[in-house]
Amino acid sequence: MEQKTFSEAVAVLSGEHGLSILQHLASGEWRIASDVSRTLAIHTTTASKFLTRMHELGFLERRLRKSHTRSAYEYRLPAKRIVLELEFENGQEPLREALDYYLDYVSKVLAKARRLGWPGVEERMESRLQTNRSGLKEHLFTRILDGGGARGMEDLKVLFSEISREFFEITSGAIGPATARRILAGAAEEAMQGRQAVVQRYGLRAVLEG
Amino acid sequence: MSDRVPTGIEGFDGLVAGGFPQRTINLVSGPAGSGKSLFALHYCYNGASEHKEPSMYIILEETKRNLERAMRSFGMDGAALAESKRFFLIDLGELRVSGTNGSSIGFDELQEFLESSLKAADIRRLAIDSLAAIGLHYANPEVFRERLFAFCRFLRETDVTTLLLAEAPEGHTLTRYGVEQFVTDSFVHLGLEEVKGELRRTITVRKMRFTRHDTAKHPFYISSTGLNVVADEKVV
Repeated sequence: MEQKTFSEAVAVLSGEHGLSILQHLASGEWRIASDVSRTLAIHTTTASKFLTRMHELGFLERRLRKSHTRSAYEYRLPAKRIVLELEFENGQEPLREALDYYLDYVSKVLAKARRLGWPGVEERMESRLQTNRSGLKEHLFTRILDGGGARGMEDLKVLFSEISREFFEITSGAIGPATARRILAGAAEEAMQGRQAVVQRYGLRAVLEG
Repeated sequence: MSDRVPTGIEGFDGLVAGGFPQRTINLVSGPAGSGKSLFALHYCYNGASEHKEPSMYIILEETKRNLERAMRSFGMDGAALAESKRFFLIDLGELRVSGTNGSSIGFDELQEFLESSLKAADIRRLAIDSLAAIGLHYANPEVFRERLFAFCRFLRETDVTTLLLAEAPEGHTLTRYGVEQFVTDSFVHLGLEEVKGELRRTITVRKMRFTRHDTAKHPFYISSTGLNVVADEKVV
């Protein structure tokens, strides 16, 4: 996280209601601002302001709940732990380099599947790549065009972690988990060549092996 | 219904009562360039094309491109059979490039692959090319021998008739590790002998369980259609 975002995150979390709101959402249940305001006895506008900012900082997930009468955003805390990492290096996170690594990884997995020769594996992988994961791809590419953002790298890792998991499911279903693991690990290792520093520093490979 | 699995190789099946016994493990050894891979390609390709038996050829050493090229040059249309899922040319050597356990494939990885794939594709004929490539995974020959025994036990529980290809280093030994022929049900040795400055190809069935087989050394040659064993000639 860059210094400006880190400062904002600290300010929000140390605000009067910051930790109480997170504690309330730690159950993992989806809540709207009025639920939070009622439970914590704070004004709905205050709750809404905190929730919006926490979502922008990447702490909370958000989705739109529609009913016949009105629509409202629901929020939840996706994990019971929040980790803040402060990046002192100037400039944005190297999203494009990370994206290059992941795209190279995908292309190497497909090539390995093709050369391995088991029918259908490569085709099924390509078909899965067409899927837009809950809008994550568009969201991610918007962030990259915007020049990063607090969650850009994390979003990228989530997206490719999911893609890699699906690759593993397809491959292991056809030819067994050990072979699948070797194909994916081989592709991840080969894609690292010439990018070791970025891959290691940002933990890009680890999410592929989850 | 016959309990033999014919190779379709001109002149060979007659030496072994019609083919390999069903659900057995069979070793083909020979020095480099002796025709082992071609023997196994015939076995798998003919099984798939003439007997409609799904066949799998596992490459651990050669490149897939070379094998495909060899098939084409001998008039074998592997692509059409692959399309109909009767012929699988699988390049497990691809996994050797880099892996979590080093740069070679061991019997465990191979077995796990086969456990999934043999049933999925209803494979009846299997060729593994070659044991020498698997041997690289084991620093100690004793461990290789132990794992080979275990792997053969696994193969015996499957429904496939297997060909294992083994390297015979130039010289006097018949196989690289000296144990391969003891765990298999049959042992076919391909030779390359120098006679008057030319290499002569020979084939000998040294062992075949459950079979009254020919024990003579026969010449064979490679033509545009592949291997041809001259069954009515002997090399003395």
